[in-house]
Amino acid sequence: MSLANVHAAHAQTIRAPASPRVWESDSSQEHATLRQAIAEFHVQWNTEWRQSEEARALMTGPSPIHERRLPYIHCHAELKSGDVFRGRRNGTPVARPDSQYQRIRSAASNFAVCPSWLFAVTVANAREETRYLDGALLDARRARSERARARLLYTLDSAGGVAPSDQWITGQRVRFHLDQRDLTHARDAAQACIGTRWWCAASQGLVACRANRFAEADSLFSAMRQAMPDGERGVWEDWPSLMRLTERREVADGESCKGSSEASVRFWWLAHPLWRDSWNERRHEQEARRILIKLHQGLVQDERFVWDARRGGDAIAELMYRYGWPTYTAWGGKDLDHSHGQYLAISGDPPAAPYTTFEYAIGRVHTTPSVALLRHPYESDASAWRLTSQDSLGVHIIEWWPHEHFLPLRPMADLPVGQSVHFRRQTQVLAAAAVVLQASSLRPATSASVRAADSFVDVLLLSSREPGSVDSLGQVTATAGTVARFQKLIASIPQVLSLEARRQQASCGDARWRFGVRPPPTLSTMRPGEVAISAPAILSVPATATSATTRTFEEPREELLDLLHPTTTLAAGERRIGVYWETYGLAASDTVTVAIRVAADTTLSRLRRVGVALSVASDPRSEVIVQWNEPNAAYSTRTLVGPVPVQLRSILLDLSPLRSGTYTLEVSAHVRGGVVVRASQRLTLR
Amino acid sequence: MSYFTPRYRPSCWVRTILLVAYLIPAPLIAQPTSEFTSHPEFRAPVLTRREITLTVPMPYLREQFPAPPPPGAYRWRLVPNHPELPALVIGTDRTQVITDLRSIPKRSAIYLCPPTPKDGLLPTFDECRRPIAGSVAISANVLIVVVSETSVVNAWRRHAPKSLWRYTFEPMGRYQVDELSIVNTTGDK
Repeated sequence: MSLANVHAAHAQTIRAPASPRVWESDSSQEHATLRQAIAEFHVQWNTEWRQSEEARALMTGPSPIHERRLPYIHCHAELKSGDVFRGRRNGTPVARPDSQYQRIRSAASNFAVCPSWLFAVTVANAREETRYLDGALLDARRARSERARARLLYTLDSAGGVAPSDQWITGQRVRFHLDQRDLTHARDAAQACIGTRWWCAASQGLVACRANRFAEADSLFSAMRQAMPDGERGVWEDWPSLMRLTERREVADGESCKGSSEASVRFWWLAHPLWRDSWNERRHEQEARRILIKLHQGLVQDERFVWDARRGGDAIAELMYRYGWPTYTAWGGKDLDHSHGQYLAISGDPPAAPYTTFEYAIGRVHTTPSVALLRHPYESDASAWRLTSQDSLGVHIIEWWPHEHFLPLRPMADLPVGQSVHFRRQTQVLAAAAVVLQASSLRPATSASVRAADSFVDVLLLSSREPGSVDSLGQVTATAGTVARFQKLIASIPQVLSLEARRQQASCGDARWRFGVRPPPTLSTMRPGEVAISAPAILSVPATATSATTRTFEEPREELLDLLHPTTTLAAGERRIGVYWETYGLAASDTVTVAIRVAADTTLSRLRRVGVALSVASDPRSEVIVQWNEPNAAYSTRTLVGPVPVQLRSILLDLSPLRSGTYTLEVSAHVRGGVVVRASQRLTLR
Repeated sequence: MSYFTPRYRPSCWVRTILLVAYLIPAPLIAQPTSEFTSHPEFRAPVLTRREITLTVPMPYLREQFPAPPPPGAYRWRLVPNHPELPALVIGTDRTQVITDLRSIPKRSAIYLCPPTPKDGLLPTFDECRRPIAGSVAISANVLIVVVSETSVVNAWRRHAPKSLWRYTFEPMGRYQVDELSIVNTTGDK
C-alpha cells in the first residue's frame, strides 16, 4: 500500500465526527462562522500542545538545556546587533550569542524570534514538525488532535462543496488535510478549486509538493506564476529576502525591481540544489512556504503562532519564509508567557503568547546564492556553493548559521573539494576532474543490509552556462569512499560545473561539488607564434609504487590524468606526487627553459626574519625547484604536431623536505625573446 | 527524535507543584510576574456556596486599539480541570455580530456544555446550548460573570476543581488561552 493510501485509509477511520456542523449557505456571516470553527480547532490543538510541553518539562525536570533555551524564548528585540541578552537564573548568567543566530524582529512590535539549531539531540516523545505538525504533540495526544481536525474538516469540506470558487475555503481545506497527512483528500480539495486560476494552481502545487510529486509540482507552480497578476507576482517572487540585508541592498541597487524576472530566473538557477533533477526542490520549498504563510496569515492566529502583524506576525512570517517550519518549539511556560507579555506591554506592544524557541534540526542546507555568486558565477570556487558546514569528519559545525536554509527530501551534503584542471584542444577544452566520494557526505544507511546493497553511487558531471541549460558531460558508477574521475571535452566558454553524486537508495543522500570555470581558449583561437601553458595537474603516486610505476611518470601522456589526485591537499606522509602539464605553441626543436617550483605561501614576521638571518630560527619557506633546458634527452617531452604544437610533460616530485602548510605549485617555460609563460595550482601539505 | 513513554505519571496536583517549582525562577525581565498577573483579567475564579464568579478578558479593549475592534462573535469557554464537570460558554449566538464591545453583557448569555466526551475533544459552541442562570457585567475592561445555577454550583462544590482553562475567542480567528487557579471559599473540603 502506498503512503498516500495509508494516509487515506487512516483518515477514513477518523472522519466520522459526533456532531459535525454541515455547511448551509455561502455568506460572509458563514465565513465568520468557519473562522470560529477553525479557532475552536486551534484551541483544542493548543491545549494538547501546552499539556504536551508541560509533560515534557516534568519528564526532564530543570536542565541545562532549559537554561540555554530561555534567552532564545525571550529574544528581546531592543538589544543592538552583536549584543547578548544577559539575565540571571539561579545566579548563573544566561546569554544569547547574537553573533551566531540572527534575531528576526517585528517591524510593528518589540516581538522578535530567535531561530536556532535544536538544543537537544532528542526531544521526549516529539517528531520532526517540519513535515508533521502533530509531531509537536505527545503520542497520546496526536490521535485527539486528529479527531478534532477531522471534525473541522467535515465542516470545511461541506463548505467547499457549496462554494468551490471560494479560494479562502479551498486553501484552508488543503492546509488542514495536509496537516492531517491525508494527501488524497487534500488533492481532491485542490482539484475541486474553480476560483482564481493562479490560486487553484498554487493549492494543487502545494499538495503535489507535499506528496513528493516534484515533476507535477514543478509544472503547477510554473502555471501559478504565469497566471498570477503582475502586482501579485512582484510581491510573491521576493527572492531578495533570502539574502542578507546588506546584500539585499546591493541587489536593489543593481536591479530595477526586486522581482525582476531575469534576476529571479538567475537566482533560482543558482539556488537549484541538484541539476540532475529537472525540478528545483529549493524553489518548490519556497513556493510551498509562501502559500502556507498566506494561508496562516489569513487566520490572524493558528494553532500556536500569532500571524497578526501588529502582534509580531511579520517576524513569524519572515522566519517561515527564510527557514520554513521549525523542527521543534520549546514553550517557556505560562508564567513566562505572562512575564514576557508584560515586557512587551512596557513598550505598548500587545502580547503574542505563547513564547517559544524556534529550533531546527541539523541536516538543513543553504543553496541560495550570495550577491557575488549571483553576479559572477563563473569565477566562483567551491566555497561559494557550500551547502552546509562540516568538519573534516563530516560532523556538522554548530556555529554555522546561514541566512536561510531548507530541509531537502533526501539528505544532502558537500563533497570534499576535488581537483579540476583544463587543457587546450583544437576546438574544445579537456576538463579533468577528480573527487573523493566521501562516505560521510553521502550519508550511508545505518542498516548493514541496506549498506551492502547500496554501496554504489551514481555520479554525474554536469555543466550549466545559463538558466535552463544543463548538459550532462559524463556519468560514472562508483563505490562510496572511492575516487570519481572525469575527463570530458567542454566548450571554451564560462560555465558552472557540478559533480553530483547520488546513492541508489531512497533513504540515502546526495552530495555535490560545484564551481565556476572560465576555460582557457582553444588551440584554434591561438595566434601564430603565441605560447601558452596549462595549469599543473597533481597526480597520485601509490605509496607502494615500484620503480616501474614511477617510470610511468617519465613518459608523459594524456592517460596519466587517470591518476589525477582527488584533491589538492596531500595527507600526512603523502609526499611523492606526479605533476602533469602541457605547453602550447612550442615545437620539439624550440629551445626552452622549463621549471617547476613548489614554494610556501607563508609570509615571515619581522622577528622571524631576524631569527633566520642570525641562524637562530628555521625558515619555514623551504621550497623545491626543478629546472632544465630543452631539448634535453634526460627529460622526456612528448610533442603532438599540429597547427599549434602541444607538448606534454610530467615529472615525479619528492616533497618530503617540505613542512606542512600551503604552497604554490608553479610550472613555467622561458622561451625565445624572453617570453615567459607560467601557471600555478595551490597545494596543501598536511 | 526519540519516543519516550513515561511509565509513571504523577497526579495532577503533584505535577502542578513540580511545574510551578520548575517555572518560578524562569522570568528574566525586570518586573516581577505578580504585577502582571494582578491585572483584573487574571483575577482567579471564586467558588462560593451560592455562586461562581469568573473574570474574563476583553482583549481589544485591554490593548486600546486605535481602530474599532473587529465586528463578529466574541465568546469565552471555561473548562474546569475535572473530568466530571462540563464546560461553560459565555457569549452571543453565532448569528449575532457584536460591533460594540460594551453591548456584550446585554447580548450574551451563559450556556452549559454537555459532559466532555471520553475522546477528550472540547465540545463545540454549537453543542453548548443549555442556558443557565447567571449574569454578565462589564467592569474595568473585563467581564464579570456570575453563575448562580444551583446544579452547576453544587457540582463545582462537590468536585472542587483546583483550576480551569479559559479560552477567549474573537473575530478573525484570534484566541487566548489561560489556566487559572480557582479560589474555593466554601470550606467544603
